[in-house]
Amino acid sequence: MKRENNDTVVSIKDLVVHYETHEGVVEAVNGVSFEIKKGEVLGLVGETGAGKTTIALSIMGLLPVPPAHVIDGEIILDGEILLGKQKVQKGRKKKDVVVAKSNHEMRHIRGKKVSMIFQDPMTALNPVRYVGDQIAEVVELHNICSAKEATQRAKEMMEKVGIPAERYYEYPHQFSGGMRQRVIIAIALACEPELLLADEPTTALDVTIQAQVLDMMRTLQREQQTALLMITHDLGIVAEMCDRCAIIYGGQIVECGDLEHIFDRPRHPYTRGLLSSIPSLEKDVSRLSPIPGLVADPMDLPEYCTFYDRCDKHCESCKTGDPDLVEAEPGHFVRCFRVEKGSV
Amino acid sequence: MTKFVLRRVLLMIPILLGVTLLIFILRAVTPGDPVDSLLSQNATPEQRAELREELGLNDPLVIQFFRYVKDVFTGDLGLSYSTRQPVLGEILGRFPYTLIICFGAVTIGLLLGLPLGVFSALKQYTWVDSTILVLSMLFAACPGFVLALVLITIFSVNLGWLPAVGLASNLGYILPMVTIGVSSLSRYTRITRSSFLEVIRQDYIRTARAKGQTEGKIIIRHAFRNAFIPVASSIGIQIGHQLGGALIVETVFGIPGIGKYIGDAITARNFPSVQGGVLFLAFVFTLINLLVDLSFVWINPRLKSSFVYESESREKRILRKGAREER
Ligand SMILES: Nc1ncnc2c1ncn2[C@@H]1O[C@H](COP(=O)(O)OP(=O)(O)OP(=O)(O)O)[C@@H](O)[C@H]1O
Ligand SMILES: [Mg+2]
Repeated sequence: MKRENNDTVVSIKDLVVHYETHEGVVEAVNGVSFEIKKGEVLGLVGETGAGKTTIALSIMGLLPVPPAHVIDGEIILDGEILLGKQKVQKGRKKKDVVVAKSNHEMRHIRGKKVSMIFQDPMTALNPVRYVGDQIAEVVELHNICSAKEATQRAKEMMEKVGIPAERYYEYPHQFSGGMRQRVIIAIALACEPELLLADEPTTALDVTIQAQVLDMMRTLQREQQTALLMITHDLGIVAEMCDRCAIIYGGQIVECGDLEHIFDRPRHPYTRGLLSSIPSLEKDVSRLSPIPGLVADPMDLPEYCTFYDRCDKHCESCKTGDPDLVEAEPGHFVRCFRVEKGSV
Repeated sequence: MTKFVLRRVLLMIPILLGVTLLIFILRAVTPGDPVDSLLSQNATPEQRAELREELGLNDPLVIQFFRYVKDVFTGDLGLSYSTRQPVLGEILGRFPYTLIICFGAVTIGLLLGLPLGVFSALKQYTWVDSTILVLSMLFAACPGFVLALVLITIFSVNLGWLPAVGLASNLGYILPMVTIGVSSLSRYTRITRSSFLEVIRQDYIRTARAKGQTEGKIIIRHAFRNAFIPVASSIGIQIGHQLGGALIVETVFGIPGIGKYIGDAITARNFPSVQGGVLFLAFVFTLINLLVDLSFVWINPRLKSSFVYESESREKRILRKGAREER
């Protein structure tokens, strides 16, 4: 139960998660490590299938088992080990086995210490219960309080996310998508968790509503000093919301650093590709360059650098193995042979 | 809401007219003369003709039909050929027995079917699930009278716990209730199972887990009511099946309900009683389905706003107000 830094809310080390399906093993997450400090916002950016949701679900302890299988890793939340290796006697030898907290133990952590906002607000609320009650539910679960106090707190939260408290006794179908996402945010933040995992919270909303919801989230996050993992594939949102950013490709973090590192001095060819594929007002739009090739197939990852096939800078030596994540400058990590060799 | 109810009640009229017409057509194509069963074999042709005239059987069928419809609207279902008593009175006297049995059957079906369905879904693909599924198929496929005879053999003949026929004591209700209940039980079990399996994969169940809710409460608070919606919509139809099944089951168990009444009337070519009985059952069936649909508003709030103007969502109201002000 040691903490490296008193400010660290969550630390993940070498997380490896596979899905074992009939068609084969999906190597969804392959050795991901990061930390988030109190009040910090970390953006997690990657294309579809990169393993972003899987990482968040691992922290929540909500991976679908089976098929999900945590192969390796350690997750420490607020000093508590949610997932870690333990030595287990197996025959004569002692073996390291990854042990997660039981569902029963996790119940007291979910919603209280760590909350998650899911991608689709249209389906994330129970259609036959009052929205207010759905907020009060989480308060009642984790705070020793009467139903009346929970209702009060739920109304407070509704006002905070910009929904009039009179709408407590309404059903989700009476709310628009943006309103529903606000309710979901209210549920997530009602118990003032240490860590909030937001999995593409605004992808399903239209752009103007997106901005409002993000703004509101940011305000509440600052107010409660919540550590926030902002999962998105939109670098614009990262620029708006985040303090640091991790780029993930094929279940690995390929680049991670402060916003200025990522946006001003990107080192990894993939990050550069992502940046040049955003339309920008200043640059010539006709020369928008998407990254060639297809997303890495997690069913069939190569032995060498995962990005090799799509990389415009690759050379033969890139095929010799998997590059490590190295610190290119203080606080700026890159997983690329060229950086390792110091050629970039 | 009132509008909805009114519309549904008015809709009952064409349905019932249709049922009446159908009975008249069936009657026209059915062989047999009511006079045969009313008079002794050695009655003179004059007597027979007189009776036919008296019963209005000589008029064309169309005239008979309209006369009947007119009478029905005044609450007169005619006189029974056999007893010379008003049919409506006889039906009302017998309906309670059928009602009790059907009510008991629905209760048995739901009380066992819902938990079995949920349980089966929770144990999906295990031997428990398969056993429940196979048994429910078996019961669904088993005709009511076969089941009735099996139950009588076991519980009346061999064990002697329950009476085989009649309502000498209230225990007599049990076997008919079980016979009718079991067939709907298997249906409720299967609907509940598949609906529950669908519901527990929904995102809002994951949301509930993310809140830290216990599995038990997730089932009760979040999954069950949603899973119940398709079950509830099948209750009305199931009651229809049960009312139909009552005919055979009541005859087997000697219950003096409407089913047996219609059955006896058919054998005796007692047209007014058959017509009245079937019409009454059709009426009850549509009424029950209306009640089921109304209870849906409570079960499924999404429906409420579709026909309750008062609780129209505020967004829409505000939008409309805004649009008006713009103009
Ligand atoms: N339940 C599952 N069974 C099998 N494979 C799965 C399952 N869930 C996810 N995967 C696979 O794991 C990989 C990572 O999935 P994940 O949902 O974490 O991606 P993501 O980065 O969140 O993508 P998106 O942007 O589309 O949400 C994908 O290839 C996906 O197909
Ligand atoms: Mg995802």
